Amino acid sequence: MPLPPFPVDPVAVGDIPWPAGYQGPLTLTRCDDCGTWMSYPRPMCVNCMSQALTEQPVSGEGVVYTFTCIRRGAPRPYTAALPYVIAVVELREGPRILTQVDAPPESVHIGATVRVVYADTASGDKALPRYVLAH
Amino acid sequence: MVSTRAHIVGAFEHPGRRLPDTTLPNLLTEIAYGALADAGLAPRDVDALFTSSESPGFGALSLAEHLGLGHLRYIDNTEAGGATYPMQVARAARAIEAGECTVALILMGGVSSRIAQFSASPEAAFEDSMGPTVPSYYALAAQRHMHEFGTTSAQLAAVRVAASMHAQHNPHAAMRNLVTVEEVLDSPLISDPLHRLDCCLVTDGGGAIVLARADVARSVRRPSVTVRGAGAAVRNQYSLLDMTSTAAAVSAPRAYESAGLTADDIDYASIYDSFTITVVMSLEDLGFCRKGQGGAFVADGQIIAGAGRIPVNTDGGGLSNNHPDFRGGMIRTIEAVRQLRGETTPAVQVPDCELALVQAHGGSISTRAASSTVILERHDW
Repeated sequence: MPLPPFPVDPVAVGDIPWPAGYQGPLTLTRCDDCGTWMSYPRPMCVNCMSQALTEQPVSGEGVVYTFTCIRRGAPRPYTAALPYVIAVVELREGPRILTQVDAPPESVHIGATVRVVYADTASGDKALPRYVLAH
Repeated sequence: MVSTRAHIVGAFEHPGRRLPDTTLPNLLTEIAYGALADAGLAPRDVDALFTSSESPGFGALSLAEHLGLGHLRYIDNTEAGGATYPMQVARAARAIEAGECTVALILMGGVSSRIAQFSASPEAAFEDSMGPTVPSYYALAAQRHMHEFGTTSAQLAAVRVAASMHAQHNPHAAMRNLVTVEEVLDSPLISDPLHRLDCCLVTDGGGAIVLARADVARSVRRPSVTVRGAGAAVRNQYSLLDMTSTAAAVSAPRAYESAGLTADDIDYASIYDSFTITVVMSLEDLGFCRKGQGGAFVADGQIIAGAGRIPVNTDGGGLSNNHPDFRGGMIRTIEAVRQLRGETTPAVQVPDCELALVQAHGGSISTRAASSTVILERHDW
């Protein structure tokens, strides 16, 4: 059974909002001066402190570096989604991100290739990236 | 000339494990005074206070008044999660030796069953929205360790078995029952591959440590412990976090170098056992076995008191004894002090224990992690 919509809106979690247009295509923050990728947006480059940062379109393809299936003890908005798989995905461009993989846990393995999809949030007017097996 | 050498003269683990009726300020008072009483000292003797973001109100300033500490000249509010407290032991020793203070109180405590902590982290929108849990962060590391080194769930379970063997001798332990490998494997999966019994306890309570300058330390006539060496490290995505090692891979070599020692010299180790995998990876990073061999090392009984090469967590650790406020470093430090004082129960006491290592972790080993490695030494006057 596929994962349900994201039960949270990212704007409701934390102080740093997702970049505009996060319904896709996938972007990641990159420094124009030194090329460093950042796994989530920063005001200045974590390497050279440059303010010249761009939301750069990326392939949305990567490989499962590690994963786990969460079966118990989910945060409250996620209780109804149990069990679900989260993974660290190494994107083709290099950065590793923590994300969801929408697939049965027994089908996920380290080294599996995945691609990004966009899933609605519960409120319906936003979408967030998660990953599915590429094959 | 008076020696400025710093000594641990007081250590106190609160006997409570579930304290629904206490208030945090009063719990911290019981803990602070417990450690001072153990040292034979009083609030008026304390001139340095070390706390973390657990402390209520305006940090050390609020607590100082609540505890009646009227003569503070050194305060430290550090937040490195469970790694905070051994870090502060090392800092307190340096502050005393630099003449900045004379008697330092390092204090931790919380009411985990009632009071949550922390405002949203910077990465919250991007990671918390994916639904991770604390066990899942360690499960991610465990899964990768298994993938690279062939570590098995039964090997991880051996860490819990050893903890339970030690806890059966600890009258204060939250869980004193012996646990088998099969019981760990039969307990429900929380986050693959970690089972419920791979996870540490959640308890109320806390503990404290008192350090004092040599002249004070000698006068209180308690068995004395000194800080022989220390190392600390913080790791994250920008320090090539590989998930098969912890930040102890950085902090431990620093600690050994500053102490002039190697893993072979250590008689006892307290290792923050947030999850069984944390101990396996730490043993490797601390040099008690080679990288990737931690699973086989624990399955071979090498961390069991009286049987193995390096007894670990002889009080039962966070897995079976006590894990107040989700922070392991304080109680791990206290058990190391008890070993060096010869004050553990005979069944788990390391004979002639001279050198003990404390390894604490904060944050989570697969994302943003702090590590503190401290080597403590028995001091005979």
